[in-house]
Amino acid sequence: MADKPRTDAKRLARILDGLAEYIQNSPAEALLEDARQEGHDPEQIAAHVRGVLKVAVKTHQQRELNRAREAYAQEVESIRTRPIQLPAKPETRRSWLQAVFAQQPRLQAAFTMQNREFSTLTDEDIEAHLRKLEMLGILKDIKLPEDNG
Amino acid sequence: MKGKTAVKTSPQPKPRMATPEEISRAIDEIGSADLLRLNRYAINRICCIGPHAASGRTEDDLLQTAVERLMDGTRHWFPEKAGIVSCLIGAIRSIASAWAAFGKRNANSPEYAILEAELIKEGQDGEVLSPFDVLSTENASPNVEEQAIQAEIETERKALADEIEASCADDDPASMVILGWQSDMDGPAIQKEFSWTETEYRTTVRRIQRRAHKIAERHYGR
Repeated sequence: MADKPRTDAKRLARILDGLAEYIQNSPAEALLEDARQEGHDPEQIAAHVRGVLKVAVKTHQQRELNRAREAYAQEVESIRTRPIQLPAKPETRRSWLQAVFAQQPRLQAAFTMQNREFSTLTDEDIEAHLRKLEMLGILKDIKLPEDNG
Repeated sequence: MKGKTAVKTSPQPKPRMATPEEISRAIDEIGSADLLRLNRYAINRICCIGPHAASGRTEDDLLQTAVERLMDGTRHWFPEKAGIVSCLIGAIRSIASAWAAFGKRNANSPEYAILEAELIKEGQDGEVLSPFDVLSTENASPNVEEQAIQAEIETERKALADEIEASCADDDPASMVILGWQSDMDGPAIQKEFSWTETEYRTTVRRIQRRAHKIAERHYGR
């Protein structure tokens, strides 16, 4: 036998490492019996540890949720504040939306919901729709009528 | 290549990492004995690094950190390779080692936290020394305060080791096991050295564990 520990910290560490190996590998019943013999209630300790682990899981989930919420809020904010150039005249904007629906007819159903006809859309509706289409990157694929101011 | 049978070995599939949901489910399914095992293991590691390195953190903090590391992907659990309990034990061990290493590193370099004015010191002839000279000499050897802390840690570690050894003084097999550990032998080596069966070894270690746990409870209140 050689290689004696040089410090008391090391001496203690070697004892505790040996015991750690026992704790890691000893049969379940021996651990439960040890706790009972020490005067502890194994079920009570188990319930406590379960609580500690669950709190850790919950804390992580909450943190992830908050992170996702923050990312979503940032995304919404960046979309909201992105400068979008739309024609100044309402009639030109209307012609733009007409062009979108003509070239992408499937979109009409999505943007004229609640059984509303295109003609019933207000100028505000049209502007909001065009903003959404721009944010979604759809406008760049549409051949739009000239914007003459 | 005639007459030779080429044995085709398919590449080993990459081990699959558990998702946070799987980890959460697996934690829910840990049984009482294994929860007790995790608690005892964490207590063991906190005792091993000592109160100075633990710096007020408990076995519960160690367990929580281990779960957090698994959940946030800092550490990984490969369900096909090991159970969740083994994985958590590995995490506990490495986190405790990191805490101990951090304590050691910072015990020797508290200059990082002091004011520039405090670095201005005079040499024996009254000449103002460069802060860098002061740093390099002070980093090389611990100052009086650090030495006192280190001595205190060693005294506390010695007291605990002495007490565990003394509790086994009238138990020859237990003393032999401790002697084996002190000689850096592991379980199988000790069994071989003393021609013991695994059961004999485990029964002996169990007696040491019971005594050590009681002593640790007295020292650290756990």
